[in-house]
Amino acid sequence: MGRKEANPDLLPGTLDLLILRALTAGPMHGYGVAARLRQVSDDVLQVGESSLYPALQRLLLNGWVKAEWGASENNRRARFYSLTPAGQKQLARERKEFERIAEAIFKVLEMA
Amino acid sequence: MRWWTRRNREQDLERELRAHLESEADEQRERGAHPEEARFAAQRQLGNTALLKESVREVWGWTSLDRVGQDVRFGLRLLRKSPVFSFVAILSLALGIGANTAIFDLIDALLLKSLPVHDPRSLLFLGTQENGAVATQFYYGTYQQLRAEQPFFQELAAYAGQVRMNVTIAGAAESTAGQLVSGNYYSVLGIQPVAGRVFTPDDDRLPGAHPVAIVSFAWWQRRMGRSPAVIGTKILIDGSPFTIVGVTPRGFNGLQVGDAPDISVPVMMQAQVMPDKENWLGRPHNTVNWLNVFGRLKPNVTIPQATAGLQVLFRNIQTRLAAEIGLGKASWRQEWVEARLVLMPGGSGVSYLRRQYAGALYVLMGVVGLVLLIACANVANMLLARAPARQREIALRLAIGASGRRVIRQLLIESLILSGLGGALGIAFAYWTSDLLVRFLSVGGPLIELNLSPDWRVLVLTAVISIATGILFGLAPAMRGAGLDLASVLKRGRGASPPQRLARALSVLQIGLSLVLLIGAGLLTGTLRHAEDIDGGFPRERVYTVSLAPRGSDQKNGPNGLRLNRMYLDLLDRVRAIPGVVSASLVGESPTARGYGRPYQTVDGRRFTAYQNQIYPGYFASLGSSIVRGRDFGPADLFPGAPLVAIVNETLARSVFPDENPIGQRIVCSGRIAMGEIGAPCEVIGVSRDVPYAALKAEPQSALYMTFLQAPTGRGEMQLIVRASGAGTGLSQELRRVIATMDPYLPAFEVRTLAAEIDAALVRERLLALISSVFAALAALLAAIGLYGVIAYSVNRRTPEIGIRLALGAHPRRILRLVLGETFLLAALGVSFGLPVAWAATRLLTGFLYGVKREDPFVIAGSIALIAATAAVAGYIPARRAAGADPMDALRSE
Repeated sequence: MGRKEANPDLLPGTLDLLILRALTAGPMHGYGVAARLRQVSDDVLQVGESSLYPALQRLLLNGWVKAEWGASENNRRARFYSLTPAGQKQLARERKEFERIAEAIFKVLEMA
Repeated sequence: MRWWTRRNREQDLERELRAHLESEADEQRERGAHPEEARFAAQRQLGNTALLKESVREVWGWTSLDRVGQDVRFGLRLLRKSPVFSFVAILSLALGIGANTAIFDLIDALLLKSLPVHDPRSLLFLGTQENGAVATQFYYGTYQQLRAEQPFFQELAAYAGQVRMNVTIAGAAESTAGQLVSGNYYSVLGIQPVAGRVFTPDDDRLPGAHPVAIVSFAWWQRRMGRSPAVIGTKILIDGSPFTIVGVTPRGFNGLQVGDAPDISVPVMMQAQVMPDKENWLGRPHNTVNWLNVFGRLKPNVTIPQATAGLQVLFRNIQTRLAAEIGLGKASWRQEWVEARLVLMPGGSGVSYLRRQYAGALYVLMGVVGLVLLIACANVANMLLARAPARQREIALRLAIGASGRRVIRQLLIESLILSGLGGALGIAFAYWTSDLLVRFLSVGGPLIELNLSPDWRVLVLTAVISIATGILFGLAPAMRGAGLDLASVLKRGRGASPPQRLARALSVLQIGLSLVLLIGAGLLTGTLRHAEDIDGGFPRERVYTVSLAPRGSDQKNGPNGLRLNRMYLDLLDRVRAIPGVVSASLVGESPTARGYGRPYQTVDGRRFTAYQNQIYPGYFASLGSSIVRGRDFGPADLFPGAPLVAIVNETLARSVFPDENPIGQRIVCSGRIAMGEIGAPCEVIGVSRDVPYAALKAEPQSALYMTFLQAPTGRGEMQLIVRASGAGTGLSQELRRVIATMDPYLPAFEVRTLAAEIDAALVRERLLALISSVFAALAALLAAIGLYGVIAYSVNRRTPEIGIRLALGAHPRRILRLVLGETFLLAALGVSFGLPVAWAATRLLTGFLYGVKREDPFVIAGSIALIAATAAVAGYIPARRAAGADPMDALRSE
């Protein structure tokens, strides 16, 4: 199962991290994830649907999230994604890794 | 990932995206957008749904396989939509691929296929090598002692194939293919019987003491209906009683490829099944070459070790044998002893057919390879011609997001479908053809049995050819398809006109290659015609020939000769007395055989080589030839002790006695001149016209004829030549009866006509001429179709231009000339490309051409004329259409 490149505007692999993080708030459908990321990042992170859904499928296949059909706020049928225990571990791993890299980048940016 | 969950996934994705769209639309509406507008906005936001789905599917991972399936379905649908195109394309590929498969099938059966025995790859045959030529037959004496003394092979086994046996079962006689085998033959090969038992060494110990026989599965089925009663059945082989003890498995036809012995008897029974031959098992005739020897090496013995060791043994044995039979002359002994022993892999058996036909088969492989190339070019051209019609479709696919790679793959898969279907059909075609070819090769000879069931090698070859051709003819159109300038194609609508350079180049290539094939076929056909017309229309179907090998005829020297001479003279008297016989004679070497060249010299020391033959009076008249100077042999020349006389042919007279009267000249015609022994001279009493049949496959050769008793050869077998006044069938019956009364021990003989004999001698030539002509015609047809396609397309493209010309008053004939001119230009380019290629390619044919020169102007001019005629036909149809176009229609089509 190929882990294809995520949104090229983001650092590679970051999209998975963001989705996993968004899902810690509880089960959410695809539209919700996109809206939440947009909202929390003050519209900076525009996650295109064309990368969001493939990414969700990737996470599903890796067993980090699971999906269930349920009713949305507007009482529509929607597919809700939630974190699995493996997903939580993966989130922690990816978060640590991201922080390490971000720190490194900051160091470079702030060098005298 | 499971296939059956796929539908669910697709549904989930579909529903999920719909939900997404609706949520987005809801939100837009909440912000106050019009419901309709909200839906559009949501769709805009989501972007290209199809592309999104594709990238999700890509994550699922089975997409590539899935897409191949899609492409295949799409390709098949396209093929169904244009049945004429599909039919022509698949048919031409089937012919191309089928022809290749058929020829390769023959090559495989003849040259490559392994024998159906245990571990065929470890079988080794023994041979002796002299001056580069390998002989594979050994004396019984040599085999006997080698087998006993050698430590390298587990065992050495032997057989003698191609022995005709007159088999009588329950009173009915039948001439059957047989072989003699050593007692360990079956155990060395690992052959288990399907009924009864196989021979053991105990069946092969004492000469004449083992009247047992093993029959082939085919014989068992044909003669006994696979009855179990076969075991213990008594049969007569050439008059001696034998008992059948076993049946070999189906498909086992001995080690001689192309030969299928039905009866096998122990080597020790040689004298019984060859009543016409001496006993080759004991002195002094145990030094006749007749046994093929083979075996498997012991573990840890290498081939070089065994060869070196056997060489020493072999030399000792030969020296001993030479001493035993009192071989006096040093030069002979040297020839005997010094031969170099070689070991040859025998996994695919040995074959005389291989020597005879391998070269011809490779030539045919080249021919059918070219045909396939032409067929490929044709299909590529057809695909190219279809390309403009498909460009819009391709452009559309590219525009909605298909990648160039995807489009190329789609087009390649389409061509692979074509070639795959062509290949499948081709295999069916090949089955039928290769069988037909084998029947053809068997004309006039024993039926050739080849295991033609296509094995993996043939199937792999066909698959590889199919795939390679698919890629070959599909790639160019595909690359062109993927490299489209989208905007211009989509805007242009119908009538896109890419430059036709590639299509024209392919057409030129086709024409050139068909010219090569036409010239090749012309030369091979010329050879055949030369050979068939060699006697200037002599009625050869009225000449009967019978090979006679009466008892003792393998040793003419000594008392046998006188007895045989009396018998032959008596036979001639009786045959000449048969009503309807015009003349009859006997000859040592068949008129169609080349015979053996022998060195001669005149008494004054001029040396020359001539083919020597022994004949009875009336030989030349029987063959429609004649004595042009001097006289024929007469009764006085046939008495023992008569003065030595000879008749020479015109070629000999011309080359040896150019300015003299050959009659009365004296030629040293006995003794071994090559070894420095000068024998007695004989006097030339006559000059004959060249007997044409000896020159079937060569230039006329010098020939020198002597009488039966005077000719210095030990061979006493003769061929009866009878010329009849009519082609009645009764004569052959009568001949049979007369010959049978002559010698009750005479083995199976066959009455044939000279025509049949010449047919048999020319099988290879006829095969090459026929197949190359058929395929050259096919190639020309394919090239014509290709050319037609190119011209028709070009006319189509130029319709507006032609319309304008016609509207401005151009005469239709001018248009006709315009289009035909274009056609002939292409044809001329093809010819100028094909001529040098043909010149190079026909060099490979030199060994197959007689009586025709490679640069034969008639063949070359004829081939070019054929190409021109083909081009004229191919160009005329579209040219007529163009010239007959209504200018208004033509202009409107813009």
